[in-house]
Amino acid sequence: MINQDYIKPTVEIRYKQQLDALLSVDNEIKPLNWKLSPKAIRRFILGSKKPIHFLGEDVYINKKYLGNDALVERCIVTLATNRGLMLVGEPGTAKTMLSELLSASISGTSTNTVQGSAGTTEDMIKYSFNYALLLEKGPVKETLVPAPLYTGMKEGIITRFEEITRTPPEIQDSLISILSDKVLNIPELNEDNLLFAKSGFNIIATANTRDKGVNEMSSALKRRFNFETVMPIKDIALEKEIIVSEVDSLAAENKITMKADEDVALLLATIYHELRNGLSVTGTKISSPSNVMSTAEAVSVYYQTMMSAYYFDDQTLNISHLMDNIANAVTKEGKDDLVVLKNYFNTIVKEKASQEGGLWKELYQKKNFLK
Amino acid sequence: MERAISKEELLEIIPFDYEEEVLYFPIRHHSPVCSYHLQHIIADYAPDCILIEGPDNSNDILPYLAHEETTYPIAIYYSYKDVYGEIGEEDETYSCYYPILEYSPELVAIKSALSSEIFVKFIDLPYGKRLINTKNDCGVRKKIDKNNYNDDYLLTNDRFYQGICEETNTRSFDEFWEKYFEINGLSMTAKDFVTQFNMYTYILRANTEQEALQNDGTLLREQYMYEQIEIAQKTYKKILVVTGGFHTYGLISLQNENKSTMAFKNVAKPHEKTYIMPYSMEETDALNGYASGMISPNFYQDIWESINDIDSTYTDTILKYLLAISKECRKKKVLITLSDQIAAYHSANMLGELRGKHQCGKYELLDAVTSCFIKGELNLSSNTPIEVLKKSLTGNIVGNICTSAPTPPIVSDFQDTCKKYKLKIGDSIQKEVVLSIFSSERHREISKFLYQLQFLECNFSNKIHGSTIKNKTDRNLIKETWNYKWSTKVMARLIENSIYGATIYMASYQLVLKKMKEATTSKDCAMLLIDCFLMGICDKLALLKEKTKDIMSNDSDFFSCAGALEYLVKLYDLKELYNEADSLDYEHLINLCFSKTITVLPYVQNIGEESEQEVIKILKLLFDITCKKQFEHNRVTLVDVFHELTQEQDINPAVLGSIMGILYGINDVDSHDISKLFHSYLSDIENTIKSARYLNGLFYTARDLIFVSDEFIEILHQMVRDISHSDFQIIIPDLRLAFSYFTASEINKIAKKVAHFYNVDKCEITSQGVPDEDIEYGKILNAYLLSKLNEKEVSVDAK
Repeated sequence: MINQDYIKPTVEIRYKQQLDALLSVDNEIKPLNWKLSPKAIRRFILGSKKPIHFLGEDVYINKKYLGNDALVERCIVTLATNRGLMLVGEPGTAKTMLSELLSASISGTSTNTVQGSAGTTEDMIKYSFNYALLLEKGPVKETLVPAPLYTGMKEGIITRFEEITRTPPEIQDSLISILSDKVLNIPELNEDNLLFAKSGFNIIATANTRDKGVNEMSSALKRRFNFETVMPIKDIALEKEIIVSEVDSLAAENKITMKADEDVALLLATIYHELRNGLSVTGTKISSPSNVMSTAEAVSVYYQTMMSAYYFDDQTLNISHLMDNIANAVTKEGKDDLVVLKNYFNTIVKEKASQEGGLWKELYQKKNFLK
Repeated sequence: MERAISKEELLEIIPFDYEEEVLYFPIRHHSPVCSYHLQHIIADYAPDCILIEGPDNSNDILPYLAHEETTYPIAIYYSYKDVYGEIGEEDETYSCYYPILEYSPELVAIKSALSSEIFVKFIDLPYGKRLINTKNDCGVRKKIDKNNYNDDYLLTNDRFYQGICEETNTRSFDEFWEKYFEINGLSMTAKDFVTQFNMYTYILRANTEQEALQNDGTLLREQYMYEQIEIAQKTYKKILVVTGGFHTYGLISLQNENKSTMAFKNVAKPHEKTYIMPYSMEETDALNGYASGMISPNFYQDIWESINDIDSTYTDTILKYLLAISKECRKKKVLITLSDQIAAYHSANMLGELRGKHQCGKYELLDAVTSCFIKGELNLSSNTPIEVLKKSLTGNIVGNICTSAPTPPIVSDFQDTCKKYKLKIGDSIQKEVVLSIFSSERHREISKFLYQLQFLECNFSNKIHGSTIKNKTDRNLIKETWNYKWSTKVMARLIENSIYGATIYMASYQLVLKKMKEATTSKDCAMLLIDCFLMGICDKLALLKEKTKDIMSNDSDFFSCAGALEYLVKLYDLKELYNEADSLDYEHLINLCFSKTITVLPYVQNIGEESEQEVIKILKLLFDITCKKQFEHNRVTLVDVFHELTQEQDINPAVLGSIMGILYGINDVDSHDISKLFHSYLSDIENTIKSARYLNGLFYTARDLIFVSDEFIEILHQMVRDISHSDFQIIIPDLRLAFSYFTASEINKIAKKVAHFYNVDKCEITSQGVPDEDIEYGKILNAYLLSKLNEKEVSVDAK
C-alpha cells in the first residue's frame, strides 16, 4: 500500500500490487536474478487491458510510459545483455521515470541511484570507508561503506546513474572497466579485494541533451552503452492524456480533490506542442523559445494553476493564473522568450480565438498578462 | 487478434479443400510467404487452370513476364487516354503500375503454370473499364503521382488495423503482417496459413462499408472476376484462383448467393496501352509505401532466396544485413565494432522473442541497429547506420525485359533516332558528345533530341557545358557538350512518357501542353517557351501562344511579367542564331508583355531595399527594349510612366535614381534636376543614407553623368566632407556598390578630379591597403615594445 506520508512514493511502493500480481502469474523465462521476465516487465510498463486475478481481486496493469513502445522493449532487451543503457533526451521527456520503472520491475528497487553532478566523486559511486573503523580494524571489508555501484554489483541489481554527463569525465570513465569486466577492484583492501558483479547487475544512465555532455563522453564509455534517445511527445492528443493523468495523480498524492479539465489540458498541450516545434498545427511557422518546452513543464504549469484554483479560487480554474504560469515557465531562460511568446499570442492564439472561440478566446483576452 | 468466429465456422464460410472444383488462394501482393505456400498448393492441388487477378486484356504479355531472360523487378504499365471525356476531362490520360518482383505470388503462379502447361490467365476488368467504374478520387482514380494497380490498401482499412496494431503490440500494419503472416505464417501448413489469412480478411470485410467497395469498383471487379471463373468452369475441372485476400470472401459469396446484377459502365472506344517495363527496387518501395503495399523489397528478396530454410530464414537474413550495414558504415567512417555486431544480433533475437515472433524480423533489425550501432543522441548527424539500413532494405536492383517482348513505339522511335544520330546505346557506359550547334544543322538536331529527352526526364542526357538561356550563363560558348548514358531506367522512363505520344517529339510537345495548363505565371510560360525553342518544337504552337497570352493578361506580378519579358526578348534575339522559325510571333508577345509590365510598374515604386537592385535592372531592360527599332513605339508610354513615378513622394531612392538616369539619357531631365533631388536627400541623416542608394540607381543607368561636368563630383565631395564619421560608416556599403558600375579607367578619371580638390596626386587617392613601409614600421614598433616589456618582466603573448 502507498504510504501517504511520502511526498513521492518510489515506483516499487506505488505499484507494489501490480508488481506482485505480475510476479504471481509470470511463468516466462527470466534473465538470472531478475524479479520479473522481460514480457512481464513490458506488460508492467506498457500496460494491458486484461486484468490479473490476484488475492481475490482483479488487478489492472495501467500504461505507465506513454510514447514509444518499441523504445521500452529495446531498453528491456539492452538490460538483459552485457551493455549498459543510456537514456538521452531533452529535459522533461520522462527518462528518469522510465529508468525507475525498469529498475523497480527488474530488481525490485529503484533507489539504488547515483545523482550525477559536477561534484560527484568516485567515492559516491563506488565505495568509501568508515574511517573510525578503518583506524581501529585496518583495511578490512567490514570498514567499507558501499555506494550504489558497489551495491548493484554485490546484489545483482540495477544501478541508476542520473545525469551522468554532469559528472567529470574521469569519474564517468571509472565505469569502463566495470561495464567491460563486471569486476570492481578495491586496492585498499589487503584481502578479498575484487568484487565480481552478480548476475542481474547493470547500469541505467540518463543524460540530457541540453547539457551537450554526451558529445564529450569518451568513446570507450559510449561503446559500452546502448543509447536510446527519448523524443518529446509528437502527438497532441497523447500529450494531453499525459497532462491529465499526471496532474490527476499529483493531485491524488497531495489529497487535492480536483480533477484535471480535459479542455484546458488540450489547450496547454497545443501551446507547448506548437512552441516546441516552431510550427502551428495549421502549418504557420513561428519562433521557438530557447527554454525547454517539455511535457513535464506543461504538467507543472497545469498543476500550479490547479493549486491556485484549489486554495484561492473555490476550485475554479482561473485562466489568468494559467496565463501567468505559462509566461513564467516559458521565460525561465530569459526575457527574449517573452517576445517569442507575445508573437505567438499575437498571431496563432489570436487566430484561434477568432475562429474557435472558447478557451482560446479567454486566453487571448488575458494577453496583457505577458509583461 | 480477437476472433469473431471459430476456425471451423470460417471453413464452412470460406472452404479450403483440395477436393473443390474451384480453390481460392488469397494473396498479399509481393508477399514471399504467400508465394512459398502457393508453390506447395499448386503442387498438391494440381490445377488444370490458374486464374489470376489482373486485367484480362493483357494476357498476351504473360509469356514475357515469365521469360527466362526477364529479370526483376519489372512493372506492367497501363495507360488510358480518355479521348471522349467519358471518365473525366476530354483527352485526360490515366496510368498505373503493376510491379512484379521475383517473389510476387502472381509471378510464381504464372511461372508454375507455364512450366507445367497449365492454362493461366488474368481475369480482372481491363484498365479503362476499371477506371470508368471507379468513382473519382477512389481506388485507381486517386489523384496521386503514381497509381498502383495492386489493391493492397483494402487490407489496411484504417479504422480496423489501428485497433489490431494496438491489440497485437505492433506499431504498424506492416509489422503486424510481418509478425503474423510472413514470419509466423512460414512455419504453418499451407491450409493453416490460408485459414488464418481468410480469417483476417473475413473480419476486415465485415468492418468495411459496402459504399466504399462500390466507390472504388471492388464489387464490380469481383462480379467480373466471378463471371470469368464461371466461364473457365465450363472447360476446366480444377481451377485455382489467385486474387488479393480481400476478394476471396467476395468471390465465394457470389458463388453461394444470388449473382449481383450491377451493371458495368463501358468505355466506347478504349484507347488503352499495356507495356512491360523495367522497374527498380526504389520505385517499387516508393509505390508500395504510397499504396500500402509491402515495403522494403530488397529485404524480402533476400528472404525469398533463403525461404526454404524455414527455421532460420529470417535470423540468417538479419545477420547478413547486420554484417553488410557494418561494412557500409565503416566506409562512411562510422565505426561499428565486432562487439556491436554481436550485441545487435543478440538484441534482434531477444526482441523477436519478447514480441512473440518465431524469428526476429525487419523491425527487430531496425531496433537492434538503433540500439547498438548509434553512439550518442539520435539526430541527423548520428543516424548514418539507420540511413544505410533503410537503403539496404530497399535495394537498388533494376530489372530487365526479355528481348522478345514487344517494344513500345516511343522506345522504337528513341532507338531509331539514336541510330540516326549515331548515339551509342549498346551498353550502359557514359559517353560524351560535343555539338557545334550554330555551325552544323545536324548537331543542332541532335541537341534538340537531347533536350527533348532531358525535358521528358528520361535520365539519358545531361548538358555539362554550353550556353544556357534560362540561367543566363555561358552565353559566349558556341558549342554544347552533353553526357549521355543508356540504362534500363531510361527505357522505363520512356515507357512512362508513352502516355504523351508515340514519338519523343510528340511526347515532348504534349508534356509542354500539360505543363502549360498547370502554369500560373507569365514567367512559367516563358520558361516553357524556352524549352520549346531548345527542343525545336515549332509547329502546333497556336495553343501555347493563346495560353501564354491568357496567363499574361491575368498576371499582375511585376517580377513575373518582367522575367517573362526578358526571356521573350532573349528568344527573339537568338532565333536567327539558332536558326529557329518565329512560329510564336515573339514580337506580338513581347509587346503584350511589355504593356503588362508597364501597367504593374507603379506597384514597385516603394519596393523594399532587398529587391531594389532587381527592379533597377528591369527598368534598364525596359528602356533597352525600346531602343530596338521594332519596339521603339513603346518608348512614349514608358517615359510617361517614368515621369509619373518621379512625382511620387515615397518612391524608393534607387528606383528614382535609375529612372532619373534613364530620363537624363534621353534628355528629358538635366543634371540640375538630378542634383536637386540628390540635395534633397542630404537634409538629415535618415535621408543621407537614401542618397547613397539614389546614387546606386543613378550610376546603374547613367554613370556618364559624372563626367559631363564637375558639378556632380563637387556635390559628392561636399557630402562626404560634411557627413560625420559614424554616418559615413553607415552609407559606405551603398556608396561602394554605386561606384562599382564604373570601369577602372573611369575610376581613374574620377580620382583625378577628386585629387584636384586636395592638390594631391591621383595615385594617393586610388591606392588601397596598408603601404609596405607602414607594415615595416608596425613590425619595428611591435618588436621594440616587446623588448621593453620583457625588460620589465611582464609576460606578454607576442601575438
